[in-house]
Amino acid sequence: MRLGLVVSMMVCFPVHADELLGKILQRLAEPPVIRAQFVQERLIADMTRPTVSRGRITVSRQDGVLWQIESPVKLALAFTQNGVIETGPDGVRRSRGQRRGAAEAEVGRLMQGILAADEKTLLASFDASAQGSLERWTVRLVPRAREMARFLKEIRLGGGRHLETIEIEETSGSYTAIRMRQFAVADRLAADELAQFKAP
Amino acid sequence: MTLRARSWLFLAALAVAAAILAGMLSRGVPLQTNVLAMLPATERDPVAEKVVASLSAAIGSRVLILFSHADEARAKAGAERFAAAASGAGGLRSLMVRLPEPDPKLLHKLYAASRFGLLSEPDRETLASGRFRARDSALQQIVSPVGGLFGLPLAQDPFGFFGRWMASIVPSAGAMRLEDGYLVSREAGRTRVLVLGEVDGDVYDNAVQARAVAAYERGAQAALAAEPGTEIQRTGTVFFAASARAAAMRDMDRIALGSIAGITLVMFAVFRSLRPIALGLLSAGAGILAATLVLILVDGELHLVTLAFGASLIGEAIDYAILFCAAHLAAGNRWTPQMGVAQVRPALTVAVATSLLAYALLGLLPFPGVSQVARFALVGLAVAYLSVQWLLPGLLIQPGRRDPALATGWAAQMLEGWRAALRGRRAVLAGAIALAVCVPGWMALQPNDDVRLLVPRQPELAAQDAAIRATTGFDAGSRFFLVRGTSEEDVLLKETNLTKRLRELELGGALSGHQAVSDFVPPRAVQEASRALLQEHVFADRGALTRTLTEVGFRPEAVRKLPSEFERAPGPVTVADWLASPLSTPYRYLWAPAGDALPASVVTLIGERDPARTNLAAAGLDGVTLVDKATSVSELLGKYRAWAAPGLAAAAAMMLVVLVLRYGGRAALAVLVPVLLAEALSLAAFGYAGVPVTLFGVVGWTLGLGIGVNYSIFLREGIERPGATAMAVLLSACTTLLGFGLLAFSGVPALRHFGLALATTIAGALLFAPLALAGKK
Repeated sequence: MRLGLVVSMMVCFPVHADELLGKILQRLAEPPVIRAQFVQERLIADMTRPTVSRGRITVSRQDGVLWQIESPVKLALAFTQNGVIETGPDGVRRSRGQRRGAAEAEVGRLMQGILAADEKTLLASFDASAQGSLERWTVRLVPRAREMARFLKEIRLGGGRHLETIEIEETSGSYTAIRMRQFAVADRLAADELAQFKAP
Repeated sequence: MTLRARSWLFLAALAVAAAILAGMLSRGVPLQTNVLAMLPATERDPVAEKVVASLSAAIGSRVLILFSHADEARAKAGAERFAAAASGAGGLRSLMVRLPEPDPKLLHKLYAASRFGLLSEPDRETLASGRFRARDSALQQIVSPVGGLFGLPLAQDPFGFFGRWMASIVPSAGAMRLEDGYLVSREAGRTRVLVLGEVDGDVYDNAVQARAVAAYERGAQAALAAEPGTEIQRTGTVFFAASARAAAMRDMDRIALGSIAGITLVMFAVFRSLRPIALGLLSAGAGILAATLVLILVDGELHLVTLAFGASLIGEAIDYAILFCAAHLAAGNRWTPQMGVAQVRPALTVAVATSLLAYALLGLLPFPGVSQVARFALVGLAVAYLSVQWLLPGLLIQPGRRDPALATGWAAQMLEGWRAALRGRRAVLAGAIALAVCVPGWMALQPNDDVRLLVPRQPELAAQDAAIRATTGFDAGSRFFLVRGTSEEDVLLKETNLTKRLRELELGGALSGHQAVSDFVPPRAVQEASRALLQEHVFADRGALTRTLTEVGFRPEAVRKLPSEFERAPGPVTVADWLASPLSTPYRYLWAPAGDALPASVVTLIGERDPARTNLAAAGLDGVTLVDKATSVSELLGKYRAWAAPGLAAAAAMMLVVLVLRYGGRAALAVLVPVLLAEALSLAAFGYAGVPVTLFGVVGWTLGLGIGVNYSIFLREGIERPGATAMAVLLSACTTLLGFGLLAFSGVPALRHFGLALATTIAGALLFAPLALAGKK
């Protein structure tokens, strides 16, 4: 039903929809560095209740996305074009997806694509459709490649000036909702943040 | 037997040989284009040699075709059109535009039950060092936005151990990504789509090659017609082999045509008659026909290098007929065939004896290709020699009508003049100066033993190959590690010693990846140790495990199930399990490459950027050897080239023996001096021109020695008839230059060096030939 609605909207106003999406992505991609607080709720199949985590997110157009979870466990994930670098609660850093073409590297690229609103990466991997206005919009991302469609059902983004919500539906039935607030724009990353992107 | 009857008998024998050869050729020319087949076994170790052969067959049949277009959809459509059209043509099989979807169930079927023995290296370290914290580890998986995205559901792998191990075995696809089954890369505004395929049959079989190339061309045309603007690049052994064959064929056409046209022209200018040309070609043709037939019968196939060489053999074989016809011209109306044969026989016999000696020396080289060339020459020259005595006399019975003095006088004068110029102290002085000028040239000589000299790589194909390799990371696989042990387990353990070092190189960027069976099937000992680590640090305290998993939020059923799955897990994954799974299909050649009886495996390398460091990876590892066919071949070429100087000296010494027997000491030296001077000058010319010294140049000098000395012999034997002899020598040198010398323009570097060495030596031997008359009236 909803899909039908989206499809008919896209057929009726294809130019408009494309324009909106382009404008949204363009606007999101404007600040070189953006920081925010986040709250994530993740409900995993086989679990009795959702797990809530909190932390800080730093998005750099140039370097990637830094995902720093502060509770319930300390964990930092640096998503780059080449993979994911993980810093555990014990401070041990681990690079994942070093091998090019590996799934982890793909995830790193995708997360950067979504959070840094990299139009090229997004449109290469997803069928994207935008709704609403430039001030209050939602974007729906459906994976195009069957490899990704096997574990990912869809991603929904929402926001205004900034990307405020991300909802991820996995094919396993797991569901993740991320809400971001307290945005701060900057020109460049701090030195300690930059260090997180360096391979261990 | 009359002269005519003998000629007819000889002709009949030739006709029978031609009929047999035609019969064999109609069933396809057994022409070998695998240049490496020319070479002897490089590995002292027969297992390594066998593995090289089976691996190059497995990897050599691959073709990679890259479609690039600014529009992604059109790049994909072009690839699809290509595959549809090319598959229909035959010649290429299993063309894959979209890889079949890897069934996740296959992975789970093979590994999931045994997952408690499969740990990635960092996880093993964490567990062994006691740093593992169950609660933190489970929470990390849950809160990470990408935790548990692949592999098993989190409840079955709550700490992500199995997921991380699976990620570590995902094959690298270079810069390409798998999207919808397409292997895709995006760069500089263009989308590239890779199509994989295999050649249907033996890559070095000419019919197979022709079909594969035709299929490619048909596919490429269809793709370009449907999607204009598509850029298509291709690589694969078959394309290189086919282009080398085409180049050799073109060489052969050009050299054979050039020789025949040039020789005909020169001969006609001198003899004013077509008969000597016909006789010369008949005599040379008899030699080539016999040599081709004998070698196909003995060796089963002809190498293309032998064929190219055979085409130029016309140059030497025809010399014998020339000597005979020159005698005919000089005899005028006193000619009888018996007299002619008697006149030329001594010179011919000495010449053939020295030539055959030089070729026999080449035949002793343990290079199958070089030895075939030498045997081709032995048979060809022997038959040409016999044809001059048995076939030609019956065909040249009538005396000539031209005035001998007029017809050959110019040559006699020329010889007299040149002989005068080279006489006495002036000659010694000129020789000394020439040798002095040679010295800097000799100093500049540079050896080159690169195996690529043998394989003419069409630059355009080589560029496409480099581009595809850069994009895909696929490698030709000429360098790999061979791992041998006493048992399956031993081989796997030895492999892991190696892969540990390779991973370090991969982290440092010296290598992009490797393929090894032990990555897919860790040794039993490692799997058991991993399981023991999990037992000790995760499953020992069941109560604590249950509490932790319940606390972080897993359902009670899931919490109960995990320990029982650990208990009931079957034994370790074995190589047999892996081989039985379709997952192993692309990698099957890695295991037991020398047959099931010999426990061995192969570790292949992807994207080597620092071969020097890879070379060190096997250092000190028991049972691990780096096999590098190209380097081995180059080393071998170098070894034989290094033997060249003593080899040439030995050949000259053997000739000297024949010459001393015939002429005595001093005169024998005089006969040998011209060609030795020629060799010295030729070497210097290579140095000055910056042409590298290769084994093939050395072969040219060796042959030049054999042919060049003939001119001195002809002169010395025939000086009583100066006109006829000088003319024969001049004509012989001209025809040889036109025959062999044209090889200097060959596209195959090896043939080019051979041709250059020979042509310069022949030219020098002709110039200095009158020195052989020293002490003669």
